[in-house]
Amino acid sequence: MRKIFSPTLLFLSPWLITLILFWLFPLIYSLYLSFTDYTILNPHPNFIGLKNYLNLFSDPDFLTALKNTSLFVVGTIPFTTLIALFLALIVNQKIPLKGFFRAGFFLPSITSMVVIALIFTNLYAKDGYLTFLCHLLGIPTPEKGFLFSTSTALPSIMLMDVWVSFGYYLILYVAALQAIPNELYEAAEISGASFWQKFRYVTLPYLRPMTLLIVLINTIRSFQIFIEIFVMTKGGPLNSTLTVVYSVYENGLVRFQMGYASAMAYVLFFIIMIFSLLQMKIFGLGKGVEE
Amino acid sequence: MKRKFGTILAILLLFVGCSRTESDKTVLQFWQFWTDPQVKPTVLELIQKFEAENPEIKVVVTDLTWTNGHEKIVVAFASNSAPDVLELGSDWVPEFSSQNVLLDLSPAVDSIKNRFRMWEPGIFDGKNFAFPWMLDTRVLFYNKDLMKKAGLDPNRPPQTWSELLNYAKKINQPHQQIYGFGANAAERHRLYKKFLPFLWGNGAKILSEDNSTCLINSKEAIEALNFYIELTKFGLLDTQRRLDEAFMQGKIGLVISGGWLLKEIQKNNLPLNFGVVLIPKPDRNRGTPASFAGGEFLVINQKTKHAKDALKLVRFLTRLDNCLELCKTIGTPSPSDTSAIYDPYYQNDPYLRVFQQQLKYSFSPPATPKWVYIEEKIERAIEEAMYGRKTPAQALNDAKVEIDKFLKSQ
Amino acid sequence: MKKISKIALLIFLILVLLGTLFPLIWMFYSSLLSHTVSLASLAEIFKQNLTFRNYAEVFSQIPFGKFLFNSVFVAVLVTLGNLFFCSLVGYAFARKRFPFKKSLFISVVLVLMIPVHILIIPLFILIKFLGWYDTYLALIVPWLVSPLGIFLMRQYIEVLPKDLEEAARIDGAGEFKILFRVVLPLCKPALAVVAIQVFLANWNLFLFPFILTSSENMRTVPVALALFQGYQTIDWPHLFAASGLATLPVLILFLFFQRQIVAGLTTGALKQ
Repeated sequence: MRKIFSPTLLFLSPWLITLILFWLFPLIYSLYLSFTDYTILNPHPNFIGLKNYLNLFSDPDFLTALKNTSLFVVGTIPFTTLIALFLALIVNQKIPLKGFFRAGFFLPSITSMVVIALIFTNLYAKDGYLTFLCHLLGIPTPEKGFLFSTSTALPSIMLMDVWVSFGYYLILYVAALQAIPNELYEAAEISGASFWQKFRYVTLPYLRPMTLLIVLINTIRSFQIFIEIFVMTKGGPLNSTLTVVYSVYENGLVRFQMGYASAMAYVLFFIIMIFSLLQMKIFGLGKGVEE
Repeated sequence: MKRKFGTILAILLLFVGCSRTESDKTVLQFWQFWTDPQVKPTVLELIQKFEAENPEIKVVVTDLTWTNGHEKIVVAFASNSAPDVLELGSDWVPEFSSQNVLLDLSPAVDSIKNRFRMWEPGIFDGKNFAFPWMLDTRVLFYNKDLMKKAGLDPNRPPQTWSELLNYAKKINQPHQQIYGFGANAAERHRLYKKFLPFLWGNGAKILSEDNSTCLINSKEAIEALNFYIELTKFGLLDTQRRLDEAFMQGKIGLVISGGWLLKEIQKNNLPLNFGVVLIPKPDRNRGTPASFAGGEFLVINQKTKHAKDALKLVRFLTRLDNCLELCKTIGTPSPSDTSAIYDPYYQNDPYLRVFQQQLKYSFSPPATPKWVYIEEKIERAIEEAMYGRKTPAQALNDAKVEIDKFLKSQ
Repeated sequence: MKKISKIALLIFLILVLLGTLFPLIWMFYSSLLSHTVSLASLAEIFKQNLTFRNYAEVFSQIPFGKFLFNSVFVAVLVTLGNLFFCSLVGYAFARKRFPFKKSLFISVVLVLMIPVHILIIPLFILIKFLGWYDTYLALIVPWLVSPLGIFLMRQYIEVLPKDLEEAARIDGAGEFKILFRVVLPLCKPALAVVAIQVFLANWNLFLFPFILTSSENMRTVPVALALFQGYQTIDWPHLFAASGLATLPVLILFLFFQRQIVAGLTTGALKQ
């Protein structure tokens, strides 16, 4: 027993050290702050119990932020995942210039998010390209512009997010597709399987772990979107693009209500955790591919 | 062996000697926002000049970005590692002044207060916590060619609200992508700066004298909001940056903007036939051509170990000659020194003369520490009116109720 | 594949690619302009003179070379560190049994879910306390073991068949040898993904480097990009030029690792 224990501890030590040294103190401290009325510049916070948490649920701004964030998560992840999968399958076929396409699709996801947000602010402008394109195709455009109309502001940002991130997940899918042994496909061919049957019985099972991973990372990331909002709309117009993390930022660093902001952050954390655990259960964490 | 020892000792003493001279110097940490490659060299030059005049002081300059500098400052104060001297924008001065983290400058400035202007944002509890450094304001920019095209006299820019509205209507040709008035869309922390001039110009106030009651639903205020909403119908609704860019492209006839726009136009030698004028007042015999005053302030960390030296740096940077040098490099701001207006730099330039004149009628929001909340509520009210969710009267009434409630709970 | 469907597929891909790259092409084009006015209207686009001057100015106006070096230096060290450490930890989670295994693994994933803004003040205090403020240490050490990296390695290693490891263990090989000589060579795609993921995340990291450093010497590229945004104006051409330059290192890294990901598994380990 002891022989197995020692090297294991050594192997785990990098994470244990990082966790204890860098994350434990900030986590516990900020959790403690969520139960106080800490206002950053005031060095003597008072303990106020669950008051912050209770106030959250009667705060219309927080509820709006929660609604917007949920819309964002549910509205982007399916698209990003499906587009990434679809294009990964195509790019994986026997076509020339595969590497070129892969790199091209990947390019948006490695560009600075701030710069991309700025680019899209221009593209979405009233005299920008998207408006021009819509007029060309006869699609009506919102009177105040895409980012200033309460009905189109959030969807515009969601579209941008799908555009930016699908390339990254495409690469992950490509990696997963590579792992599928060719013999299985050959065997399926021999037994006369159609394209769809091959996809369903050979490809899909192998993609399940990667799909879980992709959806999981994307969920955790999407629940926390901040930069796009910060650069493009700052939560407006009329709070239609207010997300929880942006609200945490505003409450904590602009209004100095760090205690309240910490409580909000932990509520979000709790929600992400539940969501993720659910996903892991549905997709089956760690189940092998053989099944 | 002895000789070696002696040499080593000598070298060590030399080091100690050198380091002692170095450590005799006071080191001041100075955080500032001017990182533009055209401006920063001037800042560094001034610092060098200061160090030459004060050989026992060394200044270490740290750059802050406009977009995220606020976070860095907050984190620094929160963790007790704020710099000795710090530049703060007028928006942020009240909130820091009230939190007992800045040094009370009153004893040092009481005797010279009259030589400088715009102390208001830094006053809390009757004490001065911030030294005004550079001031700026917003004026009305107008495109002479577009005015001519609309049949208006380019040398007679609008001076009253009705003229402004009239001109905007005439110039506005949206299908040709020509817009009358450039209005700010729902842009946080900017929108209120475009509305408040009209509010103040009409004689309305945001808070009562003692900052205890909200007066934003007064008749004058509602009139102002009604007017602003009306204006937005005859022009382009967008962010400040895009409005500036559209003006530079010759697409907007009238826009309220600041010194930075003037600088951009001149820097790029744009073939733009334009002028600047005071912001129109409600009527020929009523109200004032009010505008929004902004500026940069210098503050000192209350916990600084070198208060005297920090003060020296602040006085140096705000000295007329030094400040003027920096202002000239930046373009349009004015030193807080009241005699700056007489400098030929401002008197000889027709555009800058207007800015100086406008400064006389420029106001800053009430210096209450909770301004951030009030600003938010005001912007929300404007947004609600702009998007037709509430009438201007409703929006402002609701805002007053909320702000009053908030002020009482403090 | 039939010739026609191949061509159709290719055309489809090219169209999608163009649509995907359009904003970036616009960005690149804007970086070649000398006008500081951002051009949203199509008509103006073709009238302007193009120049590469902005790229040179990015290096001459500010010490951008230094910022690039800092970013590369930090990102490379963090990536190498992660490849090493995440393999260790991931292997332990995948293969070993120990008390609190489940909770510890959950702790890995949970750290990802905390909005970082509430952590910056305590983290700043911690870094200051350690004396790492404004040094490479603050930019590197806290990020050496990425939760996502651990997660990825653990997932990948777990589904590998254990036969080879068992064989090596019977032969008397030590744990380290088993990990590095037997297991990791089979993990090339996972390692490549971890490398890209970690490098990318670190390369674009803004908030922490901004808060934890102050001097120009320690500045990284994302912070430098933020400096092109003035108070009311944005220096578009220089910003775009700088940001284009900023994507190059990651692109190069990606092109290099792409082959690793695609190489697939050549050993017979996964053969049933």
